[in-house]
Amino acid sequence: MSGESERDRRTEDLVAFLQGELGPRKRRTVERTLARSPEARHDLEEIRRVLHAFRDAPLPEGSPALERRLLESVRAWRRSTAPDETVPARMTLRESLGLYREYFRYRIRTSAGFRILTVGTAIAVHALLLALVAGITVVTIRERRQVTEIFFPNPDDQSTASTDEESVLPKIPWETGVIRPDPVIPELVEHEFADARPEALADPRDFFGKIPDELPRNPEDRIRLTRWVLFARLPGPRRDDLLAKYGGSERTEAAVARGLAWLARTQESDGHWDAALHGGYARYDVGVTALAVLAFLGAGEGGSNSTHAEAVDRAIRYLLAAQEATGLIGGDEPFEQWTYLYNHAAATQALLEAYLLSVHRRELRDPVTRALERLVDLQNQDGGWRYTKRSTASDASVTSWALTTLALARRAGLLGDHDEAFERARAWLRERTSETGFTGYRRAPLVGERPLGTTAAAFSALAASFPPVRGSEEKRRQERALLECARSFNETDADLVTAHLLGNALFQLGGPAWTSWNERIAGWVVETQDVGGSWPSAGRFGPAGGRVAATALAVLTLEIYYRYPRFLD
Amino acid sequence: MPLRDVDLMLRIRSGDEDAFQELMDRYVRVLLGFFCRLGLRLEDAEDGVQEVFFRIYRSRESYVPKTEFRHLLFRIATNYWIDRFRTAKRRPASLSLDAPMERELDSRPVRLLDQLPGSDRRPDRILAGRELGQRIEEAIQRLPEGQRIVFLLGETAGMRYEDVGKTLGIPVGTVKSRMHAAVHELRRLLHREGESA
Repeated sequence: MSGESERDRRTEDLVAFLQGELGPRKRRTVERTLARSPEARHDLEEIRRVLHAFRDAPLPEGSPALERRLLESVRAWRRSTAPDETVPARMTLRESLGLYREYFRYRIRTSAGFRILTVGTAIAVHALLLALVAGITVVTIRERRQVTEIFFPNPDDQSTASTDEESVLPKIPWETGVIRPDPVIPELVEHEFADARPEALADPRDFFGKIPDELPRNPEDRIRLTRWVLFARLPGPRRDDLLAKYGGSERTEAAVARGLAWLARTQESDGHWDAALHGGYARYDVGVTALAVLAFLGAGEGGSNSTHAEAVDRAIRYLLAAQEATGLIGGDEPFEQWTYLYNHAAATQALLEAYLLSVHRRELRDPVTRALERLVDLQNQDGGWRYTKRSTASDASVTSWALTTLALARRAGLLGDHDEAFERARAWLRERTSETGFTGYRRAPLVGERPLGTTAAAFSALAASFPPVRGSEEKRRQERALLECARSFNETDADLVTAHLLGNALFQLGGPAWTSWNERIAGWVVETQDVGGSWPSAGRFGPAGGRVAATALAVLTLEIYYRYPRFLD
Repeated sequence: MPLRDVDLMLRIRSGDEDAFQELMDRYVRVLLGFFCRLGLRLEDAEDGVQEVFFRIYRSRESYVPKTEFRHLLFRIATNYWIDRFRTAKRRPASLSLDAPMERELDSRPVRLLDQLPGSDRRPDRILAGRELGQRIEEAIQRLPEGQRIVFLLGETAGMRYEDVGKTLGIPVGTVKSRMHAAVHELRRLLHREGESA
């Protein structure tokens, strides 16, 4: 048995060897094995034969009209799209430079000849610069000498007499598819957002006599109050007031509109956004679609009269279709997508918000409830959440996301009695928070470590989940840590994930901390928007979600003024 | 000297239709083979090719040459196939992953072999011994889904194990073991076929 497993290991290495996947040390080991073992050589030959047979196998002939059809569909699409799509958008100088920088890097990575050429050019340029500096230095010294000699001539120095030859300045180098139309969605006209229902927009004082200090016990009252709070984002005087109060502007609103227009343009016909197509990972299609939905809903889009009603409806349908019988959304166990909890938590939040913002979409209630129960079920023994079911160790990022989603559901009265789950999550986050108030990814940070994203995410999740505890030392430490995080954030990293998380937390904190953060960050986010309306993915977390996630996060960052209330108030 | 794929994409980005044509010439058949080997019928595979190229074209302005174009193409193709797989999974008579015979329940078996030019399925020819290339197509169809997609991404798309892992959302170690299992199974099936031929 052990002989067989040893042979299995060896052939595994042989396959990797033939496919160029072994590092130098492992490669040498395999070469030594091949030199001494006829059996290994036999295996290698057979594997090589299999691979060559595959590589040499003929490919199918497609229909002769396939390429023509494809070209026609592309032309038809170009004709049918908006005028700004018929002509490629003119790139800004920054975009062009960014594009060619990436191209340059790509060529350096992939072509040895290009690398040699680049190194050669770099050496030549450096040599040229060196010669220039040397030339300038010589000229300067000579000029100084001449000036000195003119004003302070040295009678003993004979060398200044014959200057013809020396006065010649040194040569300075610089001299010498028929694509089918999107299906009409009949239900679009059947559901409406709350903005079409005056009674849903009524002030809660009409129901409760006053705005309650605590959440009502009755679930229907809870959902009514939560809805009223969320309706602040719908276009109207309440939203305008909040925008002005917390530092938004027409400029931020215009950037939000451009971002949403880009998202609507890039949506696939079945309602999802293709993460891989825009520089992200394919396994996050559900997650980036959920982020896009949240961005639309954040601006009060989705009502039947809103600009992007169809896009939101299609996306919600896609998320519903991605839900499995267990309630899980975006988990694809046949492919072992071990990152599915981000997909699930984001999709749950998107459907939850869609349900809370709509009055007629009662069909969302059951999927939302099942998704929430599944999210609770996925909590680990240690009290946190991780990428997948029953992981051995949780992390603060997924935990904060899950907790925030559940907190909104609890406020709305949509979650059963899960107080214990909340308490366990709070205990887990506390254990990962240092004496100085910083929260680490999987452990409490050491002295000097300042994890910005997880500190901010944990702060917001706890603020949304528990009533404010004023004046406690723990709270003060966390607030100080948050302020330090804000100071440490560096816009040049263009990390929209961290910016979004910090923005959420500082908005909750309020006061001068929020004002100065907003003054600094809102302008930066608006200025980094590309001409087409999207944001480039960048920073440490950029590659996973690509341009779709970056755009959705940037839009959410600019909707913060009215998207959610300040729970700490 | 022919233009590189990334250069073609940069031209397509600027609206050059000839560059798009050139890119199709390079990859249409490769993609068709990829989809057929994943179990799609030829007409479905053609739909897939059309959709993948259309997505490429539509998002040309977002294109940044960070990775091999070929990898991007196959990531999109894989994504398309996964979406189809998700849909198919909900249908009762879905394509079975590990039991090729069950596919015969469909109107016709799904095999690249049948799509190849000049394939001759007469029993006497089969008994006389088939070409290795044809036999390997049959063997690929018999691989479990998880192994097949890993093998195809490695061999057709030319992806490194790390890129295959990122595309499918699985660890590199799993890619390595599945690749080995796929090659091992192909060897075994070819041996068996060879003995029976």
